[in-house]
Amino acid sequence: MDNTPILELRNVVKDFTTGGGFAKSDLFRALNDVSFSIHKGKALALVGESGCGKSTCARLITKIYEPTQGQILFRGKDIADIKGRQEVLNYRKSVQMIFQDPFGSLNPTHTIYHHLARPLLLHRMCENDKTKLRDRVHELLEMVELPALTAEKFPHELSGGQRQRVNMAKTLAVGADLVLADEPTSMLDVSIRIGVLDLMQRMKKEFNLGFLYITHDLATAHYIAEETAVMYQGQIVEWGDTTEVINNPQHPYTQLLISAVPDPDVRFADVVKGDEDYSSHAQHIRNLSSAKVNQIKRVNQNHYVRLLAG
Amino acid sequence: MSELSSTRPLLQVRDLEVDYLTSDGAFQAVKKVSFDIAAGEVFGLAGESGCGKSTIAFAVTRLHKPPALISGGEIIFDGTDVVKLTEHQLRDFRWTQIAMVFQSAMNSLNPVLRLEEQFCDVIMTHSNMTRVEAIKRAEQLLDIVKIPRERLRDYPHQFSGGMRQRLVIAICLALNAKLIVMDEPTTALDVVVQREILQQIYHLKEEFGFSILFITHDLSLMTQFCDRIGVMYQGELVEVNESQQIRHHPQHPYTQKLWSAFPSIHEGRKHYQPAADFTPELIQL
Repeated sequence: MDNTPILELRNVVKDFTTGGGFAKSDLFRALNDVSFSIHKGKALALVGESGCGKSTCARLITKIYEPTQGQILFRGKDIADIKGRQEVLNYRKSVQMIFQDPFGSLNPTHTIYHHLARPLLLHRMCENDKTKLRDRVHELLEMVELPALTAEKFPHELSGGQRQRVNMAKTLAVGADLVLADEPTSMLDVSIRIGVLDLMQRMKKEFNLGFLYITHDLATAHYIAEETAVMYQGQIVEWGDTTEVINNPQHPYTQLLISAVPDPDVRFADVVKGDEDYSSHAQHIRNLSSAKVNQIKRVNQNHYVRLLAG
Repeated sequence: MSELSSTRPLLQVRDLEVDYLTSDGAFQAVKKVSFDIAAGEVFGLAGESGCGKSTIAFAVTRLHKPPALISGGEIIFDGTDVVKLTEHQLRDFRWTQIAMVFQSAMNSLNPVLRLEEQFCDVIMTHSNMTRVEAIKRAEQLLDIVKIPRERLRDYPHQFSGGMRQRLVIAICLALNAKLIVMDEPTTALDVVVQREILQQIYHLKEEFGFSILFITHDLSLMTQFCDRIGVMYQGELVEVNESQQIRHHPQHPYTQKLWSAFPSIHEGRKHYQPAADFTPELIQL
């Protein structure tokens, strides 16, 4: 079997210029030394608080931004070299996104049929033939466990979970290899969240899709991803097999993050007693973790941790 | 605490019904819901969006607006029926008796007013304090939530999300309300900030002894934080019990379903043997 990852980031750095105009312009390092790879049929969870740079990663991968340093390889080829119209179109077809807001990512004036038929035609995945298109749309809906009737409906007639399923059908329509899912379940109700995650799990196995699952929620990352990378202020502080990272966290920031996930079996009074001065403790860890460091240490087979600046 | 208040719950909701009037007739969002909250107790309402939990929060504070309408039942707060209060009485009642932290509390501060103005607005509208007294009170409140006093002159956008949430909580404490309604107070925040805020709320509750009506969809968090929990489903309160009972012996199938909807990360951790004992080294930059 081919062992090249679908996508690989190698020591990617992204700087943004802030200010300018009349103000002094300054560089802000949004990503520092970010490396990870995503394989077929596997999911990598990128976990971190808002503003830590996880969505910037997705934007770099979709070629919305260009990295300041480092390389992004798609099937071994640097995406900076993808330039021709057809090449870019092919790349965009292979790498699809699912966004956080299922209410904003579908056009309210068009039916679901339109949303699924359009990518099929744009990417020439289906002949422009009414019956064939309709059959294919129904097939896609069936893949994401929606009734064929859904095709005639408008987005406002669907629930958040159903809309997110339509978005997944879109990625299947164009035959994507890699799906960048940016907080796809955070706006959904808890009881339907699992259903959507299970569908992602199935897509991963049946269609051999690679997933980059971007989230702030460790619990869902744990549920869906084989590998997890914990990000803080533009750096991946710890990464490796999900079970290893969650059950045997080494970096103080990962430990902080995991300890903050509510455990229903521990009363809050005991939680408070365990660490009376949580805020200053947390602040100390944040300060410690935010320094940019390029040294990394291997903990285990597939478990790495970034060193701390002293 | 007087003997009377220790025997009688602070808040008694009896057969509460709230309807939304639509062109297709009335939609009953809350159906005959009854529960009590004792003084100093944290009571949680769990359920998914649209189940009516926020509608109850709005009804308890009488902040619901048409087309919502309380069509039946009583809300007895410390002996008075909130449903029967006049607009004028409500002005004295809100903030001094019940205060509320809204779902998007971070955005419930007025962006064009300095914090000072917002504190004074609440304090002076609902009490007899003068402006000088109100500012003094505001400074004390900032001390309580551990935000430097001089930041009273700042605008909301100069604060982080977590700080804004703490400011809203500070405003809630302004007039020593006996019950604070918190509707998803930490949903928009990341887990570490969520823990910081809750820890602060916990300490404040210990100190001032107010009751909390806590609303969230996160059952794990709710079980940790609340003394008792009510589970809502389609406008009905399907189960009410101590939080540990809800955790270990959920009776209603919907409660059981809610539990299974949460992947827990702590289960595996408890039986895990770490393969390496190792801490990341410190390096000198």
